[in-house]
Amino acid sequence: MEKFKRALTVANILSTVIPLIKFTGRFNDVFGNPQKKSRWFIWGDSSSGKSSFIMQLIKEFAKTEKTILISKEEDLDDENLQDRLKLFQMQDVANNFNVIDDNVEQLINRLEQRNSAQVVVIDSVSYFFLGYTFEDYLNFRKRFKEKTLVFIGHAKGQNPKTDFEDRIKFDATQKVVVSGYLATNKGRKYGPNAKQFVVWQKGYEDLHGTQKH
Amino acid sequence: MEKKESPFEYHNDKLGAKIKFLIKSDKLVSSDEQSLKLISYRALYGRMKSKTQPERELRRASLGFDALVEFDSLVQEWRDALVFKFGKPAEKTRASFFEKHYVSDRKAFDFFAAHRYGEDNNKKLSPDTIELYTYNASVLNTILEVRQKRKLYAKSLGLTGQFDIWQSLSNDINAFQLVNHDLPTTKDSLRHKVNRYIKEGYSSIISKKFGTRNAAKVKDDQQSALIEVLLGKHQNLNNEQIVRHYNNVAGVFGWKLIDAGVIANKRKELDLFVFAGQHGETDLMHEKHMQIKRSKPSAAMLYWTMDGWDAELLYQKTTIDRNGNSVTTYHNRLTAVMIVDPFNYYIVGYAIGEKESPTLIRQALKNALKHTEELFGSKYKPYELQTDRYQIKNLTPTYEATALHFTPAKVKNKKSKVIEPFFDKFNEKHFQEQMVLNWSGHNVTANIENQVNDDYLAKHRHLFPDKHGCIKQIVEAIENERAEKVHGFVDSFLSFEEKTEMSLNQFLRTYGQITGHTNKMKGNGLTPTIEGQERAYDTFDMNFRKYMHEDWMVFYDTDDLSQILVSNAKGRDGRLIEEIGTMEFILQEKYIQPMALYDQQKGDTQQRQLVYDYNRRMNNEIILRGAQQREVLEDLFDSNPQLDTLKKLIIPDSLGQHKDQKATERLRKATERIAVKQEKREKVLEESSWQEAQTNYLKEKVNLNKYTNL
Repeated sequence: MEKFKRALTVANILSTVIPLIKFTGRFNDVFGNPQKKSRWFIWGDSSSGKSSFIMQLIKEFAKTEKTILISKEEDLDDENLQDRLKLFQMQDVANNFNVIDDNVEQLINRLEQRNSAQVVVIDSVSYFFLGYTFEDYLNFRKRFKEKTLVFIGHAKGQNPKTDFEDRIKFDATQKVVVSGYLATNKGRKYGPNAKQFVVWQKGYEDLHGTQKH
Repeated sequence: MEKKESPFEYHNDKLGAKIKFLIKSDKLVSSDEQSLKLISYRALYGRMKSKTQPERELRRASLGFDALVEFDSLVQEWRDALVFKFGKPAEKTRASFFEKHYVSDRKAFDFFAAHRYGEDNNKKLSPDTIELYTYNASVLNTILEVRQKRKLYAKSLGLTGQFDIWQSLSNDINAFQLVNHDLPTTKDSLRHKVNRYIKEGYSSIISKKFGTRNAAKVKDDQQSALIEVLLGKHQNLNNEQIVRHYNNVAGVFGWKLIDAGVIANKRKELDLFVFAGQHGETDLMHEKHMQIKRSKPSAAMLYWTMDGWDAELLYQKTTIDRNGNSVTTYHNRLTAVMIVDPFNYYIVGYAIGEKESPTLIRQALKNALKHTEELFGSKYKPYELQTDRYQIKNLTPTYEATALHFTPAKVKNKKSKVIEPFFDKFNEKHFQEQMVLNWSGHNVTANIENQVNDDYLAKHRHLFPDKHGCIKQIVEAIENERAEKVHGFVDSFLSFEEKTEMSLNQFLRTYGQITGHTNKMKGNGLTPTIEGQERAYDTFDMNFRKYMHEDWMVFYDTDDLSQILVSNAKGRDGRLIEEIGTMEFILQEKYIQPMALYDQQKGDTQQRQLVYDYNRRMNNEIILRGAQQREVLEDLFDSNPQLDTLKKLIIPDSLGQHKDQKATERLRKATERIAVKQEKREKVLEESSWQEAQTNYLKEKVNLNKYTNL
């Protein structure tokens, strides 16, 4: 007969040490220090400032963690990508940050290597899991449950565009919607000082008016 | 001082760092004196060309231009080092979205410069105003453009519901300092302004005070008269309501329509004429009429003024409610009716009760008159008494009896009385200043900051005195007040010549009470029952005893029962029906003599003697009067002898004797007889003496013929 798994007590859970990733500055204000095995879902309309937000988020992760960006939306030799890397001075975290163009199998293989990246940013899930089912997604994230997985989705209005993305949203531990150059933290964990992150100050002001300083 | 060279320079809108501030000098390239010396030129150049390194070349060196490396491509340590040493690179001033769209409006300037206003359209706007309005118009133009573009921009970003365009524009306007405009700072006012600008154009920016429209709209007398009448309506129509009425009429006559601003101005202009209609005569009197200033009386007792004052002292009262429970309340206050002489604000009289009533007022007046007696020996009337119009019909007889002249205050004119401010001072001086625990503050209309702390009062309510204690507090305050001023008051009155005393009769008649019964005088005096007790009164006035048959009604003063006033009245079975009032007497309470010799006291003899003397006087008077009456009758009977018998019967002498009278009669007859005889004798004597005189005369006559014959 199969052996039951040991049921955990409250004390067991409370005494578990949860490894955190250290965030600084505005990221800390909005998201606090996220735990290592978290799943992020970030969605936003086209040109809402989503990619810029992701690049800044990657930089924040890469300050302490080995981070990879799976860029499915942009080719690696795109000028946009280059500009964004320059704009956000990604050379500062060059040791911890890489951009790749893997498919699901390649990524699985890569992540199963020793010393593989702790943070995996997949831009975007619709392209990455194209032809895969939600079950495949679940298997994937269970397989790498110790890693920080950041999934990027598309949006229609304020909601994820597809059902697949919507289900990922429900599965995610941290949800962020980007709209009008403003990233809004929608749970489950909040930072101490704010809920919103201005992705691009100029774009934000062009749209929302210049704030009096 | 030499200007420090900056390592930062913009090139093609990108921030660069001068290489000479990063490298060490070598044979080919020399570094700046202040260089950070982080790397060799060769190594840096290599990195800039390498595909594996981030540093990128921004500009090659040429004559007058330094070589630049793209600042953003440097690693963080180097950027930080540069910033740390040379400070932050000056941010290239970047025009905001709004600024980029701002264009000055020349047409607006022309429009405002050409604007004329005033009654005759001959005033123009000041240069400052023209400038301000031009800026406002330019900014409004920009708002319209930015609004359009931003809407499209937001739409392109997929923003719809969660985006507030007016908030964004308001943010821009508040931050936009390039020109000196005065557009609204809140988004709703801004939206309102912009929408008016869309509808009305440049005119919407011009303030109403620079307009010509209002002045021109109401011009002729009929229009003004209509507005004035509407303003004066007692319903107090507001501006909008008047505008509707006016515009209805204007529609008929083809006048220009007006708005509420016109009425607001007219309301100010015509205030004096429409005030009475709006607020009533009383307010007109208080607010607009010329007020009379008065000097205080020159002497005491010239002018009394009286009013009731709700004493600002709380007391506790315990009552039993209908369920038989004891209920204590702490908010009770007393009313003191005071009579004050404004000569030196002396409190001449007062009465304290739970509320103002005619009874309380009478008590106060009575108290005042009695106080004059205490001060001056007799009750004196003031020359003038002024009161409010409370229960005026009921109280007028009392007031008129109390003073020589009674002048009620003009209807609703509180100012004619000086007593209200006196009460305020009295309250402050004797209760607030003395920190009386149960002091409840100034009257309710006073400033809230000056009022007493309610919480404190509530906490200490159990320490409040009861009604009796509260009365005592007020009386004590009044007595203290009196003590300060009494000398001045008395001195002034004593030196005053025209004093008017109030008789006891008048006092008792005005302030006394009646028993409701009639009494007759008997030997033991008049014995009315006053307040359930039979008392005996009498007077040494002899006249009163003459009317022992009359019924008398009794006026008495409960405070002093030693004297009463009686007035003749009709009664039935001892009950008073009505006063006849043709006679009145003051009676004194009878002195009670002890029956036993043992109880006799010193004054008793004296009192007894008074009665004896009185009785003796009465006897004498009766005797004297009897003698007088007889004299009168004797004349009557003497001239009518047929009444002789009656005379004998009814006219004894005062001692009841007739003998002397008979003798007198006898003598009279004898005298008459003698007189007749004597008359006859005198007649005979008279006749004989005539004959004799005739003879003697003839004898003495001379015969002349005798002498002629010689």
